Amino acid sequence: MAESGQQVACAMQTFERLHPTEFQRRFLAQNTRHDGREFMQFRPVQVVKGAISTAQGSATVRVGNTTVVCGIKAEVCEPDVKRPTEGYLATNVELSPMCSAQFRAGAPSEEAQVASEHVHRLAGQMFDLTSLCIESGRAVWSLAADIVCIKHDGGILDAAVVALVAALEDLRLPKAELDLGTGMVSADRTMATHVGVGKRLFPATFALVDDAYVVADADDSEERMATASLLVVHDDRGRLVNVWKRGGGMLSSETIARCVQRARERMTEIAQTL
Amino acid sequence: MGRPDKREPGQIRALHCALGQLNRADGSAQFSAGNTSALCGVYGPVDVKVYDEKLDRALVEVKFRPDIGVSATKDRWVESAVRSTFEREVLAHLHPRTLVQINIQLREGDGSVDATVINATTLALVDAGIPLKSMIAAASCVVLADDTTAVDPTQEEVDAARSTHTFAFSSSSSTRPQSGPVYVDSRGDFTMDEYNRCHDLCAMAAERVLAFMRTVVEGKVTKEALISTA
Amino acid sequence: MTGVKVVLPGDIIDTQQPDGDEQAVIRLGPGLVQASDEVTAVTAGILRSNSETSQWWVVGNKRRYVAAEGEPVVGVVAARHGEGYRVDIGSAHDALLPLLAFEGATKRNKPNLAVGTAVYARVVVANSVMDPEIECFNSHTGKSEGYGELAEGFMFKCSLGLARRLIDTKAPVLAALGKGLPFEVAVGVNGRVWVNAGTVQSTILVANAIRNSEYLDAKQCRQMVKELLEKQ
Repeated sequence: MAESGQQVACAMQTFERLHPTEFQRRFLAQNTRHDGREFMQFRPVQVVKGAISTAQGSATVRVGNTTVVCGIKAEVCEPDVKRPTEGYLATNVELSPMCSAQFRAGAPSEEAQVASEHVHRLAGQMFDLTSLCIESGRAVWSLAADIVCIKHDGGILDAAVVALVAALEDLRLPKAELDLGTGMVSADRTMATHVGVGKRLFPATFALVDDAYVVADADDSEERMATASLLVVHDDRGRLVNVWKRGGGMLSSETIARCVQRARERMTEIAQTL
Repeated sequence: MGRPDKREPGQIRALHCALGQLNRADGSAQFSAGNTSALCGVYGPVDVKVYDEKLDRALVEVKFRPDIGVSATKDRWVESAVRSTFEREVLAHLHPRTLVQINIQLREGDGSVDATVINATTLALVDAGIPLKSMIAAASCVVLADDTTAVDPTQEEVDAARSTHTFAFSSSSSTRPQSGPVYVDSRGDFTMDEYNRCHDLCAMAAERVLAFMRTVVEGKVTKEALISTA
Repeated sequence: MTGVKVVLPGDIIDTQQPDGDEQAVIRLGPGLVQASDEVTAVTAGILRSNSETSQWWVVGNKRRYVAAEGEPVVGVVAARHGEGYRVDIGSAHDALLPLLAFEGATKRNKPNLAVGTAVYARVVVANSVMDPEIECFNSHTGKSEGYGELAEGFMFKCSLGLARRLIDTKAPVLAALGKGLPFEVAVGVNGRVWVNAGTVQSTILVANAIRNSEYLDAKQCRQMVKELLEKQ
């Protein structure tokens, strides 16, 4: 009995390998997904803050099998002349061969660069850069947020945004003072304080799979056959921050409205874990 | 509150387009809305590197260069947006094992850049005779601090806006109203009502852009047809 | 032709003939595809139809050649292989020209073309999955029929639309030139034209005249050629 069960599992694996699209279709046609989720069901989120002791702020986020780590390093530097009270927040999403075979070593892939840029744009909308000011026009904090993907199984933007929010909440900056005489900045590590996150962001991604099925939080195998993807980001007041639809597949306005509604429900799921 | 350039809220800037200005490219278009202007050159179908070759379809590649400075990560984002919009619009299966290369140079950016880039790309692809499922027209609008909306914003308006919205629509969606936008990028601080309002405004503006595109292409085609039949 | 109808990609074509029967099989040519039960245009151009054969197609101008069977092309030899030449005909992939695809060629007696030689050939194999194949003779008759190496002369590129117009024997620019001076011309529908008028000056004149004719009608062509000949 056990042996035949093994055989079935083996045959399924072979089928999945040989006909990935057909494999997924069989599930979708039955109103279910290959990992047992419903169409509009998200994967569970886990957040661990402060995992890296050498960074000023860090967080590890798991969304299903996708794992990303975000570490924030802080440095003191001079502000931009045009914005004397604003610090810097640089974001970088790294998708290395470590997380999936689809990426190659060397220069960052287009997907990684697009994710970096998109996270950067979102970060600019949630984080108040003036909170990084030490002395107007003289010294500010420059934050480098590195988001490294450990395991890639779809929904990388969701995980990256949640990781960035969590790491910023974890961020503790030493009390810094500028000595006006010498122009040196001295930091007191024992007096580290939290920098408030302007507003929390709650992302949710939807994918149009095989031009017919709208699924929430697609994993890697579903993303591969997706013809359109929709990212919806809410803030903690429930207002929209970003609606981003890409790919030629058609999502009607009603479908988009339905996804935005579902993304609001997802908000509470993420808020609980943060 | 009036707009800085005295336009009506639903009024787009003057459109201008020149087809086939680049005589070495297979197709090209320069598309301008007011001061915002993009030049797009298309090559295709051409030979593709073995590494990038797709056995069942043509590869669509997009290169974007900004008006100022060298191209950086933010330009990869624009490239990805354009590629994702046109990848399924180009009938790539008609020319397998080839490359369709889209090169975009922003000439001047004064708001609504993404929409202008998409419009220029559509016209360049049409000029190059690349088979397309339909025409794509894009439009932007902003929601300002006083909750008013303004379509086809200038950079000044974008900077002052609470949220910015870019939508692209396919010409075939006018006959199939249930199909939604091809591309959406709404960002800032907004509600679903504002999103819907911007969607409708941009749909109307895109309709006008599409009508303009039709005039431009018809002008070029009839000009050539008159010579060959004369 | 009653008026010209311009179509754009995505336009739905009404293939119903006013007097035609509904059962007629419709044949779609370049620029049209069938999606579900509708016919849509995929390229911009003038919609043409032949009511007797129920054929529909779109005429548009392009600059990039896509090989089609039976069309005459001007190519440039890019490399030589064991069994043939690789010829650049301006399409996505180089065309193959077998060594034996010349008039009177045998295993012992084959033409020897250097890399860079221009040839006038006809496309024999053209489909989307294979590289195109061309030949420099008519394989049914074994005669060259004007195809073969294009020695001397000058080759230049033009739009595919102009090339198609030039191939018509009544092309106004060629007719006007022919009255003024003797010259040879080989027009490939791949947008390449080869001319030879004996002297360098005359060759350049012919090439310029053809290139100028892109946007000129018959009357303007004759005027332009007249002016060029007078200047010489």
